Amino acid sequence: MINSIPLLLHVSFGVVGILIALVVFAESWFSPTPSRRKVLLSSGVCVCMAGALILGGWWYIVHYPEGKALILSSENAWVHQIVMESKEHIMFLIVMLSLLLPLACRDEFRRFGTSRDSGRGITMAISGAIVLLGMMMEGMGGLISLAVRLALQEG
Amino acid sequence: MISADPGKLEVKTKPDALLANGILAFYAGAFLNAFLVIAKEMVPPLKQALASTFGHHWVGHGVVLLLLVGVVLGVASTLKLHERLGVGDGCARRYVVTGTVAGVLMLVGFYVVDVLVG
Repeated sequence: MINSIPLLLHVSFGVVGILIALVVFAESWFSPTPSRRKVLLSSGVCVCMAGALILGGWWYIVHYPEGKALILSSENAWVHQIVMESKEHIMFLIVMLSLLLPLACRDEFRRFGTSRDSGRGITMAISGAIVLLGMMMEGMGGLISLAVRLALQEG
Repeated sequence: MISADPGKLEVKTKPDALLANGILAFYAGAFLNAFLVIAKEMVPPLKQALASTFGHHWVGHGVVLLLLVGVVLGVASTLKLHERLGVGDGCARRYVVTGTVAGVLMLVGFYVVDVLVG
């Protein structure tokens, strides 16, 4: 139970980060004016994704080898070879995008009143990419959990 | 309270230097991430060197990628690459979208081919 808390927190940080990024996307879509709330929310995305990276990384290094051995010995070995291997590296893209998001939200203030869209298109592109990649990561995580469960049933 | 009528605004502005160069660094980082993965899998001593230096190859991958992206950002800022490339709104959005799509496709594609070909 205690071992699973970091994993649950990893998933929770990821989901909360995705939801906040979705709020930033929606606010940019519906409102042409920049807001301090959006800058704050985008910083929240950064914190959540950093938390997801650190906790997920710790889990991956310390506890995942047992699950990896189970998956590789099962008929669903491809789940580790393709899904997990991709997931652990796609996470770096999300972290880089999360670092850019507060910069994009902040830049809207500088440009507001001088440009038609105050650069909110960039904010929408970054937050949209975070949401889509994040949802993809959640799906991949679910697939890995399923592969471990099936491997345990097989064994 | 900020107020303006977007319909009357005609001036085109560009993203500031840090954001524009940050997006360029992300674009490069998406490709570097994939190249680093391919290099690690094709050259096992590289993977082992990262593992022995940082305790785990994934941690080493993250640190090396962070350093490379930092170097790209520094070089881009020094050379004012965003001005040379004329990074405007549309261009910045395209870099974000294509960097994301290409980064994911290269990673997943490599592992799929690796599994299928062996």
